[in-house]
Amino acid sequence: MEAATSSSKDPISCALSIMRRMPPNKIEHNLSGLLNLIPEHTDELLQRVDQPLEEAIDAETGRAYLLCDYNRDGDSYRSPWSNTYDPPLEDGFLPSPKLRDLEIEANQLFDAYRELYFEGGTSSVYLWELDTGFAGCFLIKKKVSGHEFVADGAWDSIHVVDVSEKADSKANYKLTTTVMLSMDVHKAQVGDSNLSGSLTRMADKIATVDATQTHVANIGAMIEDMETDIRTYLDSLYIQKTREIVSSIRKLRKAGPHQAEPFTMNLNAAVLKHGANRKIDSES
Amino acid sequence: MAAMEEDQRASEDAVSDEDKAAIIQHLMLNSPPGQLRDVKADALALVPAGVVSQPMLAGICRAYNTANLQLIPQKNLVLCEEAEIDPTHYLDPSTGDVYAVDHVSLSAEKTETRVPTAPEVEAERSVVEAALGKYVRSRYSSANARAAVFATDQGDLKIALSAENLNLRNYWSGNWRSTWTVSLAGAQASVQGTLKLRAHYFEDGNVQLQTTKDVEPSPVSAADLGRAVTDVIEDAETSLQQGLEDMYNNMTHETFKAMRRIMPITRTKMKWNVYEVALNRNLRK
Repeated sequence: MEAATSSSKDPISCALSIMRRMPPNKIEHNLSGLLNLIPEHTDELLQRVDQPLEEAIDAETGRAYLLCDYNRDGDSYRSPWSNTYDPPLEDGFLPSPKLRDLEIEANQLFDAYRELYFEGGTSSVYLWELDTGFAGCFLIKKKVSGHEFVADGAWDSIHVVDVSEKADSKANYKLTTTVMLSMDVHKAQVGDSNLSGSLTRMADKIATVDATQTHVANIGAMIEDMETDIRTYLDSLYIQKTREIVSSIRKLRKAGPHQAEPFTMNLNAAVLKHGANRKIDSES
Repeated sequence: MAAMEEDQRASEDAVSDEDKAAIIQHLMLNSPPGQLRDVKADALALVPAGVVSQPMLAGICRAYNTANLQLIPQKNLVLCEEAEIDPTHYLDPSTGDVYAVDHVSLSAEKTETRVPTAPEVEAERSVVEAALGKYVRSRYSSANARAAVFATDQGDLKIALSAENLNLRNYWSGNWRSTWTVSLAGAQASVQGTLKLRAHYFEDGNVQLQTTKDVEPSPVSAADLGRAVTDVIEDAETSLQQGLEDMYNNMTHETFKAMRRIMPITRTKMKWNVYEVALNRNLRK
């Protein structure tokens, strides 16, 4: 019965559905399990499932950069600062000189953006050509530690943007953003707690491209708004929702039946419903 | 993309059926509250039929159910190690009723009624059970909450408290579990235990809270055992819940701010212009 319904789903949907239920602080581990079950879908799964970003140091410039599938060629990763692969590659994929210029500009601006909002952390931007334009991956990782509750935490942003150039100096930007959050707590009051999660959203925009309103400016403004939205949603809705789930099970204060909790739940459900118009299911 | 093309590395080494079964077991055992069936269906769809045998599936579900103190609400059963007579038979200690349990479908049929297994502590067991029943009704809002109290062969009491709230249609579920040992054998009775919580929200994402907290032994008066045990449990559970409230408040105020600001310190949005950025950099020097 169950097998019959699930066999109508394709393996990628099943794998994504499993990943949406597994503990978000164990993404790498569970993804590698799934890759062992369906190795023939390795490429697609690696593209569809975002993983926490790893960091490396560019030997030439000494600057940190982030690793992902978009700057990997074989077992080597390309640094956005020196445009070289580590370990070195003879014929590693490189963007065209024109696109590399844009990539340098994007890295410079995105680095300033990171400092403005994150006051620390690491950023990297990678661009590649498409038939109708180009695409890019904008990454930020920020770690925190030693807070009153959170011993170790991390914020990972992955923005993938697809740019198609149109007539009349206009371009269409399609942005898919995933933010991954992890917070590890070890404290007498709450024992060993972990609060982790990820949220994926999409946005679409057509904008004019000219000398002042460059591609990077258009993409950057879109990312800035998207990241602010996601940060607000994660903090005030998604994280709070887990808190409401706990209080929906056990009452913190022993009292007669009181209305406060169910009411908040409904209120938030209404807010969420409203927000849902702007959201696109990460599984679709 | 060029970087993608050589990605056959992982796929070259064939994984044995045994390893695949172990992976499916791992995924199933990590299922969030109320979602074991979904994970099972999705995971089994990824492998050829027969990789996980029916007895193995039943075994995985049993391990999940007992580790998660799975409730069978219609039957007043808490599936846990202490309730287990054999892998398919479980005891409701409040009535002595024994049920045949199907771990996969979570159904149970009564088979027999047993007399108390440890009559010498049955009086203590039953006062603790009555006091805890009152406690659960007063604190737990979910209808699906229950505390089962068992007498052990060593003359101690074991408590399994389990509560869950499932709303998968609205993409959330959660459970609250605690297990306790009431030691009666020594000169001074004492209570110790472990609390576990999990909350899952997965609309357009996947956010989870997972908590485990051990509670050190506390002495309790044997004179008013039911109330004394319940007081220790209530204090420990309320203190954890209050701690989590403080944690959530602190995360918003300290951790989220340190991760990413809502607005830059300048209160103005980024100027996406290389000259502007260079200028600001020089001004700050």
